[in-house]
Amino acid sequence: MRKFLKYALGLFLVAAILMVSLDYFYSYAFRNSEPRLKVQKILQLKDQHFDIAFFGSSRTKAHIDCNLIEELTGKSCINLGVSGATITDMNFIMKAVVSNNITFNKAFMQIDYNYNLIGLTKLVKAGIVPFLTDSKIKNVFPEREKGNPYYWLPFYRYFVYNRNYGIRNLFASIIQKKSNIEINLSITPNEGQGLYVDGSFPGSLIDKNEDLNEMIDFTNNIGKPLVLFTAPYCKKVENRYIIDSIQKRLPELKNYISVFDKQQKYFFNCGHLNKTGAREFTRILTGDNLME
Amino acid sequence: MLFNSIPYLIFLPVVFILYWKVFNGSGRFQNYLLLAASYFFYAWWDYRFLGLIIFSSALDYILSLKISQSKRKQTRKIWLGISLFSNLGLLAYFKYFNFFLESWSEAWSQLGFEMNYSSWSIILPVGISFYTFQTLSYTIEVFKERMEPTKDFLKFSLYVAFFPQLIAGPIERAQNLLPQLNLKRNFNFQQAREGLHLIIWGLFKKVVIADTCAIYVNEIFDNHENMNSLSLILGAVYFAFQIYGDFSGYSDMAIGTARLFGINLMQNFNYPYFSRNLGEFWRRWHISLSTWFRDYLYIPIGGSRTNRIHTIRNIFVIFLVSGLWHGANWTFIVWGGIHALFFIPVLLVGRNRKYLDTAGKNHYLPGIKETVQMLYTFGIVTIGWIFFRADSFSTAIDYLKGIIELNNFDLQYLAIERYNVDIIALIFFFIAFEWHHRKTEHPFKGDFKKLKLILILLLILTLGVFSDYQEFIYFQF
Repeated sequence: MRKFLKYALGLFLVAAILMVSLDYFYSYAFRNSEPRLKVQKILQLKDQHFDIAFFGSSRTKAHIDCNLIEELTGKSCINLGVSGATITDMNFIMKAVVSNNITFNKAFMQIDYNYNLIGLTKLVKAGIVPFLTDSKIKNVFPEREKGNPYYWLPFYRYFVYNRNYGIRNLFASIIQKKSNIEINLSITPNEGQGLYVDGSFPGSLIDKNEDLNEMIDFTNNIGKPLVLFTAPYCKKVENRYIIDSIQKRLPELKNYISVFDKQQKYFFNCGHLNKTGAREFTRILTGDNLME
Repeated sequence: MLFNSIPYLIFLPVVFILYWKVFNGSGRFQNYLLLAASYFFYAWWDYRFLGLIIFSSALDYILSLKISQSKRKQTRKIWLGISLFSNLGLLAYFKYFNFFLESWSEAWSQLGFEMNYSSWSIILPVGISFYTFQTLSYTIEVFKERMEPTKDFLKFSLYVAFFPQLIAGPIERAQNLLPQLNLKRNFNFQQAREGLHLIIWGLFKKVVIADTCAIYVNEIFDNHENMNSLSLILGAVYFAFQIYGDFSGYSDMAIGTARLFGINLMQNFNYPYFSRNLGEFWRRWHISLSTWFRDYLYIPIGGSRTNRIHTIRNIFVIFLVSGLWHGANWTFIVWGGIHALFFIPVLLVGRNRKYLDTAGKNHYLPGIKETVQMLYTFGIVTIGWIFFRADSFSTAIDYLKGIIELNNFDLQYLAIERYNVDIIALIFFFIAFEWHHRKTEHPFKGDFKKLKLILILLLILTLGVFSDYQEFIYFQF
């Protein structure tokens, strides 16, 4: 029995050594390769300064046109919005970019029904995978997610996300093969005018969003202003009053939800503007907040 | 609980340590633990069906004792009849009720009578086809007086529910398993190490071969109308390796796990794709099921010791029933029919038992004749797999038409963002690896065994598919 346990332990050790080695090898390769996910690209950024940084979900990614802002204001701008991102995601991303010495003078954070969403999303977790061997990123990783084997078990995260980081992608990364996916840190607009579909917000709010409070505290600590804003939604969205409830809690919130109520042509779908709408919204937001 | 899941990774070592360190006082203690672990293992999937296994065990335990105690043949037959009726009745209800209802209604509608029916929402208890056949074989053996029934309900319950083989076999025979449960198992290093090796090899077949193939197979079969001939051929070949990797991988893990507890289960696969005709294939594929059908269906209805017409009928019966055993769909029945059609000529010319040895026995590579025979057999088996995998008979026919039209043999870029040929190298590696080790149970024997073990571990880690979690195919049967 003892002999067998030794043997099994030996095999286990071999597997563990393989996992640790592979984790470092994969992480090194993917950290230094052409990114295939936006979060990957964001976390690769180092030592840069932007006047304005935008954080949020697809309503930031597809609505905020940084090129236009640069044109209108002469200020540099970066769009860090990620589709489907929660405030937890953005809290992490903000801290991660700052730990990579990305500086900004002013930050914008998009708030809407995402007030109710807590936890890192799969897409953002996928993007973080190669960076979890980087102590700077590990330090800002959300505490409450640290119990997951994804965080502490070497290479396990590559199992879970092997669609993004399988051996094929590893080879593509090693040979620096160009990806078909274009990742833009300015805007990724929605093309065309979609159906004016109905949408729905949750009927009630959670007590508080700790990640948002952390973001506010964090920007206060680094001495940078944080502007909270709500992007336009179609008129038909259900439970629209929920944004008023958020505004009661966050009086500083700049609420643009109804700005295009009479401009259906600007919508791609109920929750998203099209390219023209995005430019128009960027103009309004810039005029209100960035023209000094 | 899947063999390739985190809960199992915790469950197995815990049971193993308890078994050899805490419950090793006697065989009875060991059996208690294994039975509790087996019921826990099953309840992890759905505790409501535990009652069904316990009922099935109790029924056959009592009926086999009644059979054994009865002096009159007529009475014995009645007890056996009750066992057959109950076991097959449960199977028919859970597995075939909707199928029969639907087929019955369709048959009437073909005759111009519309029948309104609504299918019942019946959950298929996982493993029912396997443990039902296991209990049936026991009762039949007792009836045939080929074995004495056990008077120990604990042992019998464990024979039915032993967790490594409970869900998808091997369909174990009482003569093999029950005697092992009579004795206290003593730890044997060689046996346990072999078990561990089998588990690793089975895991490789499942997560590297089967689950990788599954990504392509699902894409190609689900969109077969948009696929060119090359993709369709490859889709069928990939499915052949998917189902082999999946099922034989499961069997290896089951046999390996049992060995960790000092129990030997029967071999279920023996390199079937190196078969030189269908007769040999069926001696190497799902051995526990094919021998079950041979012993309890084919031979009782006359086997091949009768005239040619009856032999042909008997062959059709076992293959069609075997098809139906796999699932309540006409595609499985057609799959059985295809095997019967191609098996009959082999039987009639007396070549079904010709190849009892291993292909390329005294050579490293197979000869030209053997290669052609193996490719031909693999081709027939793969055509059968198209029906096995297709959602419906018409889908399978469309799929075959797409191949026969031979319209295009170009590389095709699939929606899964991979080319149709991308895993050919993996398949060839697997074939070569299996060929090299075809005379042994698993590859971690002979020269470079440690190196091979590390290589396979590395491949599991780097090529294994864990994100698109695939259940074992045979769970649905």
